[in-house]
Amino acid sequence: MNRIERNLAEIEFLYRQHGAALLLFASAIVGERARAQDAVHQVFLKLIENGNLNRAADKKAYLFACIRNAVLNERKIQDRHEPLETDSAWFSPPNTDVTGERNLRRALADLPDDQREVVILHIWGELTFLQIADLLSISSNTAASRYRYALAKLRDSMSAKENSCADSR
Amino acid sequence: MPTPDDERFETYLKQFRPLVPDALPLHKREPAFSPYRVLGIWGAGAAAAIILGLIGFRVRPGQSGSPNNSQLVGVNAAAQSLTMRDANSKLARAPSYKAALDEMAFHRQGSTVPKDKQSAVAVLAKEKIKL
Repeated sequence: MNRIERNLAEIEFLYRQHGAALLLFASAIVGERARAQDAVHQVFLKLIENGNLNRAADKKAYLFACIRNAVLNERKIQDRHEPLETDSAWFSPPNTDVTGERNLRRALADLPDDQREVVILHIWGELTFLQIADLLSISSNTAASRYRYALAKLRDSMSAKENSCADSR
Repeated sequence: MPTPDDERFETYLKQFRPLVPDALPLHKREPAFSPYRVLGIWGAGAAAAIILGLIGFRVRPGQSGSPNNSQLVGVNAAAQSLTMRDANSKLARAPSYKAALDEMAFHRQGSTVPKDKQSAVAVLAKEKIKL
């Protein structure tokens, strides 16, 4: 196996391992799943073409940073500041809890951008606050406090939505 | 400090698995040529050009060192067609007109058969056939 094939195999492995969390992260920034997926594909295809992943010390954090840059660049080009469209699913819900999935998606969409990024990176991206701080160019204390605020808001929002669903039944 | 409620809520959230993206569209893009591959292609091209040049030099008539080629060249020279000049000189040299014609019509043809083999015509010519 030569250098190019090894590089391709590693990138495919990283795509299988982190693709879902990266897609969720991109969806949480752009809202639309198709655009988020385009951004993820674009990043990985560039990595395959350039083959410079070995230079990254923390590959997972590097991938999240690449996705964030790609998505933000695309948003700058299109000059769009539309509210998040959350019509398509982001998650595979436990016990086919479709309502829970929709509530979670909407609760995440209601969060401020900076808090939504941190909560997704920490829970589903499984990045530490130190890694998140490095990625977003903030302090780890700021990352941790954003996370706590986000978690509290999510819990309130989801319980409110569940109650409203229960009342409407 | 995270509270037990926070941890329970985190565990609940983690039960929602992010959807897996579609497969990478790898077939749409060819991997870029590496510098080594480009060098390899140039090297192969140069080697092919050198080999073709050598082959062209070797098969040029008169400059060939191959014994088979020299035999063939000799055969071709012997089998050259009769020119007006040759015919006139033969007529001048021959003792009679008939002899000159015979020499022109039945002059010895160069054999295209290699030295170590015999032609069927030569073998038949040696046999005495009664008509």
